[in-house]
Amino acid sequence: MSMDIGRGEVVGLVGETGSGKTTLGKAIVRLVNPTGGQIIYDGVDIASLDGPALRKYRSRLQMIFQDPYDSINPRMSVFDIVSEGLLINRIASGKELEDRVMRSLEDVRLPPEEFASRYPHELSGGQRQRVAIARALAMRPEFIVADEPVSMLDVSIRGEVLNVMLDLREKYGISFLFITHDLAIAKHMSDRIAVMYLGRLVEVADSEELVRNPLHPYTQALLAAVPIPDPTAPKVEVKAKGELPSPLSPPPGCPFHPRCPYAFDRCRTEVPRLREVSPGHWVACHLV
Amino acid sequence: MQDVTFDVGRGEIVGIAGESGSGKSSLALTLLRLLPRYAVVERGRVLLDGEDLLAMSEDDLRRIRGAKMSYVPQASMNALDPVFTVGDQLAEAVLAHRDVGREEALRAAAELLDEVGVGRGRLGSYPHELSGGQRQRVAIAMALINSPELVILDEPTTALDVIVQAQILRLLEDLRARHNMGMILITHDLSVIAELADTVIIYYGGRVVERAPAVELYRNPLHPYTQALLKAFPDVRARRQRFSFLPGSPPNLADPPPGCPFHPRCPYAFDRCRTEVPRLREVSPGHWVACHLVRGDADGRADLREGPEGVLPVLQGAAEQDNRHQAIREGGRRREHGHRPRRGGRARRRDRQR
Repeated sequence: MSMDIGRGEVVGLVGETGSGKTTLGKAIVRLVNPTGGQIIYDGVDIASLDGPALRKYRSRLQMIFQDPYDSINPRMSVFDIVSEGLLINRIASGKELEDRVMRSLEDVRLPPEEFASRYPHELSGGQRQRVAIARALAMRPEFIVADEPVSMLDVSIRGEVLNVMLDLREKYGISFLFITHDLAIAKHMSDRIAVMYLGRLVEVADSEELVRNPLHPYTQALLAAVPIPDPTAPKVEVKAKGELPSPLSPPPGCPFHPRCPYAFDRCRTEVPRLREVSPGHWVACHLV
Repeated sequence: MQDVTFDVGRGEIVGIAGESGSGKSSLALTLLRLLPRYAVVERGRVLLDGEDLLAMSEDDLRRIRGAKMSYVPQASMNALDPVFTVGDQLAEAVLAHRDVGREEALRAAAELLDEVGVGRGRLGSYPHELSGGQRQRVAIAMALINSPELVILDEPTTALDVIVQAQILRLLEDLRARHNMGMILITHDLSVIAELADTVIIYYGGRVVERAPAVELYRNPLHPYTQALLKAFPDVRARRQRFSFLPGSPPNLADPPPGCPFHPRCPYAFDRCRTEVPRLREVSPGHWVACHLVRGDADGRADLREGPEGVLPVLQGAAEQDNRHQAIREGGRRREHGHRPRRGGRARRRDRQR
């Protein structure tokens, strides 16, 4: 599992349930502690930080969670939710606190005069998720891990939340790790896409390149399986068999070989390394 | 729910698409007469082979449910009984409706497990020993075991990963072809419906707002809600672009807006939309729409006419679709930023509830 994310870049992390996407996201904000390896942030290995150093690092980076019905406190007003991080970290108070909260709400397109004193139960799912984004934004983060931020929302309003995040990238140069199981959303959201399978990266490429020219058989299967809202579109056969094995006992060799239509002997014994097969296009497959 | 009229032919798949809160699951429960006791059906009929399900006795109904007509509820893969084997649960469904012995019931279960791709080897397995996709296949098998004429599936693939979803959709297509049964597929996902349905119903605010053969609906969506919903699906094949969306939320069904249920979110709404409910009309053969702006009749080509002064004309044709959606988006943004049309106390109350 090795990858980098540039300043102001949006990297989409795609994979099935159980592939380890959320764990990776949580490791970056240190909500889970890695048992090995390094996470280099701005030149510093943050995998082993603790105490005040960890706290300082954390305020530069924020996470947005999947379920906006779980991730914001129903007993707090929108203003209190968005200002909490600033108060706890003693970043702002008084007028400055208010300014920051108001600006954050404006940035997520929730007019503060209308929303600051409301409570979560008065908000729709899309509005709640934008409150969660405003809470992250108030900390002026450099980097945001967004874990399936729209999968709980109705299709018709997802675009609004996604566009808000794209605005923030443009306006403040915030980098995103955008975790999703939806390749179509990842494609339009991300500069690059990383495909994860059973805790390993199997393919990383520019998002246009990945969709146009998927090289890993797993990526190909994912793309073929995306339903197209057009009944006249040709039905593509999904060649991958079965379902994701348990991450607790991953198969030997290539993690995808039990489902891969092209697997041969080597795949069953030797883990393929992630290699750069054309500029910026990385694949972990013995066949490529 | 009001003005919900449609029929399902033998071997036909009707897809019903709607957002959360549109009342689409209540529709399924109405068809099965499984609504909670406080819900009342004031008018209407549900005819299965000419028999009115709403008028028959509970005993007669029980003979039909799970036999002639069956139901795969939402999250059914998690509704299997954890303390019985898959075989026992399938056999129970057979024994409830057919006068056969246990052995024969188990034989039917084994055959069906083979057919849905789980394999008879799993007859003695407990639900927790199966993967999510396999459990969903078992739930589908349970609905099919008495060879129903109509199966109602509520979000049958929603909790599944995309590859497993594709496998289940292929299975449903296969089963339909082999058993020639009618299916009602209820989902929020228009792309899932596009994979399977022959006829599509767009459901909004407890009403059918559009109904058409699938190919026609996706090629020529006429209701502004259908247009916006289709645009909201990002196309993985398209060049990278900003996302389209439809601001606002579906109406509260306990206190629906007057007039067209979609008018508070509709960028083209004019006076008439706020007072008069548009009727579902056939505007071209087989294509039904409930919108005051849609002109046309069964003989002519349907189109959208220009509204009264101040209303944006609804554009036609794929080339203009982007502009059209832009209008939808801007219409919403205008509302959101406080330049709201004057509205009565009722509308304001509703807003606050959101």
